[in-house]
Amino acid sequence: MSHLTDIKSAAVVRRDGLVVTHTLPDGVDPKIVAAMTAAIVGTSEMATVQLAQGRFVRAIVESEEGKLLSLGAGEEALLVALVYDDANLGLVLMALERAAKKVEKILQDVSSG
Amino acid sequence: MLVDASARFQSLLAELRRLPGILGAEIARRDGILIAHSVPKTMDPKKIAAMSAAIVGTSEMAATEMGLGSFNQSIVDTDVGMMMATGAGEEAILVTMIRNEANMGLIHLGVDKAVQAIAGILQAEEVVA
Amino acid sequence: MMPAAARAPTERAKTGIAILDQRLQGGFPRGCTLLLFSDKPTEKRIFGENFAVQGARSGERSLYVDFFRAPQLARGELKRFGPVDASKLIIVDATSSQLLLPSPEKYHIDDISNLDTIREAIIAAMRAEKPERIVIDSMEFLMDRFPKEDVLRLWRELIEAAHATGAIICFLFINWTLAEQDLVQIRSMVEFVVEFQSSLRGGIVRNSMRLSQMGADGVKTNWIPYAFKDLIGLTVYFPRILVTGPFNAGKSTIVRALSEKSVSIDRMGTTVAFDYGNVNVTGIEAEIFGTPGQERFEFIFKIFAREVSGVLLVIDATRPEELPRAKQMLDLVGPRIPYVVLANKSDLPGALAAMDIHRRMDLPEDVPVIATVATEDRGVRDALLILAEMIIGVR
Repeated sequence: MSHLTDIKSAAVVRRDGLVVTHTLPDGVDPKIVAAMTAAIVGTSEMATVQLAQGRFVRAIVESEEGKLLSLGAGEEALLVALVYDDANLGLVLMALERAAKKVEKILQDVSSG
Repeated sequence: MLVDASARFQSLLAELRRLPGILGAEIARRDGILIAHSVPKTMDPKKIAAMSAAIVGTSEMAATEMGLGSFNQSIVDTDVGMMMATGAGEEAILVTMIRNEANMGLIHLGVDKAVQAIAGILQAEEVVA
Repeated sequence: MMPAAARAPTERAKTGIAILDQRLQGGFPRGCTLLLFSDKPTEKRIFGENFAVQGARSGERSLYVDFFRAPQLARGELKRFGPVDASKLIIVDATSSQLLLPSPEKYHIDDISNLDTIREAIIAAMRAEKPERIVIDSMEFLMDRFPKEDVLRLWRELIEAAHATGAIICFLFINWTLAEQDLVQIRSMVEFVVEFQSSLRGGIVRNSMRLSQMGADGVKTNWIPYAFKDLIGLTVYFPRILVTGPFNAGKSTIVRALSEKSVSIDRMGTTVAFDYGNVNVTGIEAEIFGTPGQERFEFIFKIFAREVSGVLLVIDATRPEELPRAKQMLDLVGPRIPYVVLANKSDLPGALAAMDIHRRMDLPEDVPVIATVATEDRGVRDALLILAEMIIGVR
């Protein structure tokens, strides 16, 4: 996923807020990002149930200088990525979906192997 | 004065709901307490208020932690629509439930207008109180 | 004060893991035998290395017999524990001869196919250096190559030789092939068994160890989760300590008081998502999560109340009417998770005493209630240490 230059950094975190792996820059604490992503996605999924319409797809935090995109990567994990504003969002979202599926597969293989 | 504010919130929400594609909207305090709502009966506005407060609060912290500048809004994408939460002044957030086919340009305009109005009403409250 | 020249070791050999050393009354007794055991490959080598390094750090000599790694590699890996006097770490090199290379170490085993040369080399090193600590890494290397009875005999001989000099000897061992009766025999030769296990959940590996002292009244701990910290060594590591309790009890303040650095997601004076902090006190590392107190935020527990090592249940000691709510919040975390009750704001007028709170909450006898004043960081660290001891099983 890192070959897509629009995605500046990313992390795989467990749904309960622990870091699995990341490419976050040095000034950023991955543990805090993991906890925040878990809170955002977990709460968003529960909110989706409240809305009684459809399934959760992804959560987006939109800010002045960029976006934080997070989505599920299987039962155990989440994927979160940081993109800056000039990004091609369509391409990025597709790349994230693919990456999330890969993460899901890796975790499944690891736990059964 | 409070009754007045409540009425104003309701009319503001009603106006927002007139926009095509908006399924519901509510105003919550940033600490998760419901202020006013106009949502379908299938939704529990109190639960949504608390969850939106958690989402916005966390999103704002995330924006800061990751150096993304000031927070604009949180979006929860579902396969049939989205929930959008944005700050409305220092004390409140506006939560809007939107269907996928909606005209987002129009909706953003409506939401921006509503957010300003809400912040204004709350500020007026403070001045009086 | 010990004169600088004296090499008299302390009565006990520290592990360097404070909470474990406390439970062992300072450390392992001199002249005992340790078995570091698992039946699957786990991280137990790190405990052996930690033990050797701790010895060197205490001014003792540690002899490390390494059947698997070239001494250059072993020394390199030992450096991860931080600065240590390399002359106090004596390696018995068992690999260079296999590679037909000269050994960079003073002590080396020249013929790895002969159990006698192995025995002689190790015992010669023990006699010459008189180390206080000896680590054999690892016995299954011998079990895989030599008849079981011969290895068991060597095992006993090494223990005897170690005891003759008052050294503590520590054997690493993975059991691949031995039957239960052989394991019983091995356990009868040692005083302490440290078992290791590893689990993988959602992409994260968790390592834990459990210490048992042989004998009915021996020290026995629960599974202790641990982690390795670069340049420091082994620490006890709790992946999640939850700080919860009714609204406004002081949870966020407690997270802040305990942490080196923390973040709080709060609005209008109340936590709306969570508090998070990183604790590092006396060899215990933990990640603490504070929850909001109000009912409307209970959904947060579904996200964060997982893999909880222990709970600090915080109540406002001046508000006994909230005790039922506090108990209810424990249910949100789940059963059988160790917890300690913090009677916070205990400096305020009208604050109930810890005993009263214990009674009113009708708590099980073994649940401690500790008076705290979070705003002045009083009692908070004690509460965490008590919780840590409960989790580890040292209370």
